[in-house]
Formats: sequence, C-alpha cells, structure tokens
Amino acid sequence: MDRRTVLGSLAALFATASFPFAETFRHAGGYGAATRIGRIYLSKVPNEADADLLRELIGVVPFARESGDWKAHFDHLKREDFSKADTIIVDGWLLARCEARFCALLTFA
Amino acid sequence: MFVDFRKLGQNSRLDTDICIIGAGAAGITIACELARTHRRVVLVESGDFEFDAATQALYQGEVVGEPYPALDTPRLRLFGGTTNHWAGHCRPLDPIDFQVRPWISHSGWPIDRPTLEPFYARAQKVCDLGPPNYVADEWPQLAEFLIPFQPTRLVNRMWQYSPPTRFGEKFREDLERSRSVSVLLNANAVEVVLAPSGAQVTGVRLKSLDGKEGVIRARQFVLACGGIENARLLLDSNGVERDGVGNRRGLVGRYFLEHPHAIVAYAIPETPIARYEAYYASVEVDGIPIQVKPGVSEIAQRELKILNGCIDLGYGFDRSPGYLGIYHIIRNVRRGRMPSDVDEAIWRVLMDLDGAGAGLYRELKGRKALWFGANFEQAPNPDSRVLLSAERDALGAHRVKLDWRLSHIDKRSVRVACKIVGEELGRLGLARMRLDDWFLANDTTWNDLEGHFHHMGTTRMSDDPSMGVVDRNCKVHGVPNLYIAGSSVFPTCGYANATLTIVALALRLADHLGDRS
Repeated sequence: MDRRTVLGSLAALFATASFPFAETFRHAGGYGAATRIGRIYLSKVPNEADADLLRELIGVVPFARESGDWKAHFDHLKREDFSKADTIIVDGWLLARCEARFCALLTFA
Repeated sequence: MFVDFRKLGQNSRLDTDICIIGAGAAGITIACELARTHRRVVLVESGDFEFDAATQALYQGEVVGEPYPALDTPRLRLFGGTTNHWAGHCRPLDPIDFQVRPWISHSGWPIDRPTLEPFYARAQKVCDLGPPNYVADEWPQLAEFLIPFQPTRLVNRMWQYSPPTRFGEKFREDLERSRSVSVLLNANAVEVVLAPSGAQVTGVRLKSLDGKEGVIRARQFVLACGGIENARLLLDSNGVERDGVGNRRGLVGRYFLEHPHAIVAYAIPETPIARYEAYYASVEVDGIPIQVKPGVSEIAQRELKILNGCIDLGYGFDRSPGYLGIYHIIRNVRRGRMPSDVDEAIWRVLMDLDGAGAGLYRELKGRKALWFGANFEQAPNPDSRVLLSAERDALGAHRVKLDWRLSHIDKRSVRVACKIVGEELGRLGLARMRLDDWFLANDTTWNDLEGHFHHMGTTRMSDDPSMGVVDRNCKVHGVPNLYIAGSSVFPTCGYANATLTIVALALRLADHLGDRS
C-alpha cells in the first residue's frame, strides 16, 4: 500500500466521527486499504477475530452516537497506545493498536 | 620547523625524543602539546601541504565484506590529514559508551567518561567549539526547537559544529615556529622496527615516493595514522614478529567499527513540523551551529538490550547538495542575516544546478517528506577487521584489505530505536511512520548501507592484553615505548562522531608523554 492510500485511510478514520462508522468509512477513499490493514492485523492476531470483542476493545459502543466524543476518545486511545508502545507494524506502517483494531472491525462490516 | 624528507640524504638517520607518525587531528594535537614541554619531537607526514594524487593512491585497498567506498576516498593523506575534508560534527561519547553492558559482547572501556571530561573540555577549544555542554535541555535558546519526547524513551542529543577546524591550517604556523618540533613531510612510514627481542621499538623506516629512504630513532613512538592505517602499519611491520607489532594475541586489525548508516523509514508529517528544524538542519546559538537528534534513553537501552544511538531526521523537498545550498541561504536570509558560509553554499548550488532546480520545483509543489536514518554505534565484532592485502603499493608495502561486518544486534537496535521514534511522533501527532521492508526483516542485511567514514576499533583499548592491543594509556601491550593515538583505540564507538574523542584522547596521551619523557 502506498503512503497516500494508507494516510488517506487513516485520515478518513479520524474524520469519520458518526456511526454506524462502517458505512461512513466505506464512502471514504481508503476503505479498501483499511480493510486490508484489518485483514493483515487479524492474520497476526487471530484471537481478536470477533467483532464484539473488537468493539469492546476500542470502546465503540459508548460513543456510537456522539461524534465529537468518539474522536476525542479515539485520539486518547491512540496517544495511549503510542505512549505505551502498544503498536503493531502492518505492511510497514507503524499503527497504534486501536487503529489496527478499528481497521479489523471494518472487515466485519 | 618543516623539513622535506626528499631533500635529506639517502639513508638518513634522524634521532629524537618522541616520534609521531601521522599529522592528522591526533598527531598534530599531540605535537602542539608536546611543543610546550620542549621535548624533541619529529612529526612524520606522508603527504605535503597540498593534495597529491600519487601520495593519496597509497591509501587504495581492497574491500570485502559489507560494501564500502574506495578506501582512498574517506581518508586524506596530506598535512592535516582527514580534517582537510572533515564536516565538523562534534559530540563526546556518552557515559554509557564507556561502561560494560552485559548485552553487548566486548563492551566497556578501561577508563570512564569522568576521566576524559577535562580533556573533552580542552578539545572544545582545539576544535573551535562553544562551551562543553551537550545537554540540549540546558540550552534555553534551543527550547523552542525541541520535540517533547518522553524522557524515559528518547533523549534529545545535541551536536556542535566545528567551523570545521582544518588542523593543518590552524596549527601550521605554531609548528613552523616551534624549536622543538620538526615536521617531516613526504615521509612514509613503511615499517615499525622492533628490537630482536620484540620488547621495544628501535626505529621507524621511512620512504618517499621518489626513492629516498631513512630511519628515525626515538625514545618513544606514537602511531597516529587513523583507524585503518594504524592497524595496517602494525600488521605490515613483521620483520621481527611474524604477525606484526603488538599482535601476539592476534587482535590487531580486529573489531573494526563504523557507524552504519541507511535510510530506514519515511513519513508524511501529520502537522507542520518545520519549527523543529534543529533536527533536520541546524540552528545557530551564540554563533555555534547546533543539531539535535532523538537518541534512545539509557533506560530504554538497558530494558530493550540494544546499542546506543540516534535516529537522523531529514525533512524537506530534496537532499541534493544544490538544493541544500539554496535552502541554507534562504533560511538565513529570512532571519535577516547572511550565513557565514554563504560562499560555500553558493558553490554547492553552482556545482549541482540540476539538484537545486529539482528541489525548488518540489518545494513549489509543496511535496515535503520526512525520512529517518540510522546514526548508531556498531557492536564490537572480532570478525569485522582490517587485514593485509596480497597487493602492494608504490612503496612495496602491503595494501590494506577491509572486511567490514555487521551483526544481528546492529540492525535490531536501529529497528527498535526507529520504532520508538515513530511511536513518539505518533503520540505527539506529528507524523506517521512507514518502515522500509528490508529494515523489518529480522536478519543482518542492509539496503544502501553506508558508513560515516569513521574508522575505529582496530587497536582497541583494554587493560587485559588478551582483550586489547593498547592499555588505558594507549601504550601497546608488550611494547613499552610504542603508543597509539586516534580512533583505532576505541573499544566501543558510541554514535557520536569520532573527532572530538580523538582529540581528547590525544591531549590525554600528550600529557602522559610529557610527564614521562
């Protein structure tokens, strides 16, 4: 994946603030790249191949309707992951764990 | 006083108290210091004041192992040595560089950083640098340029830039005026001659390219020929000891160290990071150009069992010399001043008009990127070494063969460090990193590997003769009147550029010799 595609996906990820996010993200340019990241992530971490588990891990449910809260929540998760070195390299890209999980969740959409 | 060896009689014999071979940073520093003690000193230099292709060709050699540029390009063989093309980056080694680190085989110096501290302070003056303070956080003028990394993970390491000091130019007049120091030009040391017992050096055989020969005798000898040539000369001086001088344990030439460099990752900044220019260019503080790099904290090194090092950050539209020349001028003019080295910058533009044009085009299009490179120490490795080639040079001496080798921990350390930098930039919302595919492979291969032209480790320092060639005073084990100066004595090399430590060790050795002569 080239950097434009992946960064586009991630930008869309942050811009996607309303739910159901999958539909919103599907319309963003990077949906394909994001689901590819998600599939690679799940191949590396197969025990997380469960949509409910992923929703729980990234705390989707409490913020499903409040877009501002979701973005703040996600930024917070991301910063925490980077801070704790809870990251994963997917296709060369250094991703916060929550980002990879979000992409993985998209594969269930 | 300067003397042209070619003008002396055939088979001339010279006598002195101290003979120093090699007039580069180390040799000139020692000679200038000893000039104050009124000891008789002869400083022997292969070249002259000007570059000469035939003399420089004596540095040609064979490269095996990791790829490396032709061996006559990184080093210069004329008065002033390699400082004649030195870029001037200065930083002392870190305290941890001197320590035994259980996760790094063969690590540890017999001296510590506090021992070198007073010599580092003196070396600052020799190299025309600012105050001997390399803690970035203690420079208030730098505060606005520093990225607030988590200090348990990354520490901002800073460099000072020497003008750069050309040792040959700076100290030529002092040496010309000296009554006790003679500089012998156009004199190539071809053999360190041992007494039949092998217990001391009796002389050094000299040759010029036009066939003149001679011998210099002294009470003490100092080899200061550089990290490759010191080892080559010892190995090739095998008239008495079959394996060369100081090499009864087979250590001379082993543990060759470089600072491996490659571009390892890229990123598109998420927010403008132009304000952090101390990382990708340099900023001038009180007239001193300073650069900063994110380095792995000691805590992280110990926890992750990695080497010491930094990650280079590049940011901009282009890295061509021409564009960098234009960029340097524009950046200074925007601040209302002309750079002090404007002539050099213009020259770089003129010599690389294509690069300058392409860089400007990319800038107008707004295509900026970040890239990340390795600026790391290499782990000591006995198989990484300097040997004698079967080929001989114009003087009949064996040429050198360089077999540079890297090990698993070298690549792993850079990868771990790069990931930490990527995580910190991600945490701060500054950039998102992509690591190169080759770099992620858990092996020892590197793409587009380069060295920094820093040659170290081939006559390493240890108090144990089975582990090192010289002792803590840089005296060759088993040869009490032979000393070695320069980066070949580094048992580990840190990530800092070598010259400041070379000069500090040279000052220390000069004090030692001055006391004992």
